Amino acid sequence: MMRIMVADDSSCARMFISKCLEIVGLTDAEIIEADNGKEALDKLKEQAFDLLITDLSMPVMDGEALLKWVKGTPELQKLPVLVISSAGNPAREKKLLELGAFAVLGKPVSPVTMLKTLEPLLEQRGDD
Amino acid sequence: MLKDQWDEIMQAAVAGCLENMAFMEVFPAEPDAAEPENPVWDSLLVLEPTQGEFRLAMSRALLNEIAANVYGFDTAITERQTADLLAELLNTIVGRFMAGILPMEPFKLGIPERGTSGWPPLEPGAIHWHFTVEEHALSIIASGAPMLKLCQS
Repeated sequence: MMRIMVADDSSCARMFISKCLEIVGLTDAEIIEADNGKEALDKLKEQAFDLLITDLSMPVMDGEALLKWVKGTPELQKLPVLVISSAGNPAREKKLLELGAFAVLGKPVSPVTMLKTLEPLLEQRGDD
Repeated sequence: MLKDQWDEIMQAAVAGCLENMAFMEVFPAEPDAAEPENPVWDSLLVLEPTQGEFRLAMSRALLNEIAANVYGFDTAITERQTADLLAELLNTIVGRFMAGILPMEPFKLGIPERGTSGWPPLEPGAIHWHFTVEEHALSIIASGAPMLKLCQS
């Protein structure tokens, strides 16, 4: 079973992402939510996750800072980070990919895009 | 960038947001179209690389219809959920719009805030877009001199 952390200050966005994950077939995934980057980071340090999905604009700690923390922490470095945000454009996407995000998607994300993006991860898990 | 291009980008941002999130069709309305009645509205600041403010307003009835489409008709939707939805709609629309007018420059948005009083008067020079969604009016206003300078009339 996959454990996925969804960090977004909007409960509506978290619900929308969870629905998308369900539609793409991750019905048995355990989804843990956080409403800011700091809360997500605290949970990531305590428990093991297979995927982090994060927004960019969040109070307390934003998504870019969270991504930097994750990629700069040896125990979390390998955690795939998917950024789903409305504050993205090609310039920001390039920067986030350089920081270590494995993909950057714009809001609202569609199940088709979500599936296409997660396919390599799901295949990799299938191979393991 | 010309005002016509801003109009097209805003139309695409609103349509892309509501069609993808709520499966609802959006139509542009005339510039003198009526404002939403007793609107609920949110405000969002653009912080970088320019400064401006966007407001999204719609009737409570339209917000409830969107909420039913997003959360499901069989769900008891709380006030917190509808407030959160309005904020998420504004955030998504503005993000798509800013990515359209500044495709190669990173931008930073604030956190949406709920309008607590009646619909405030329009600032001089503000841009006002009107849309119709399921026969309800939806309005978006962009204001703030630094951001509006990016739009040539």
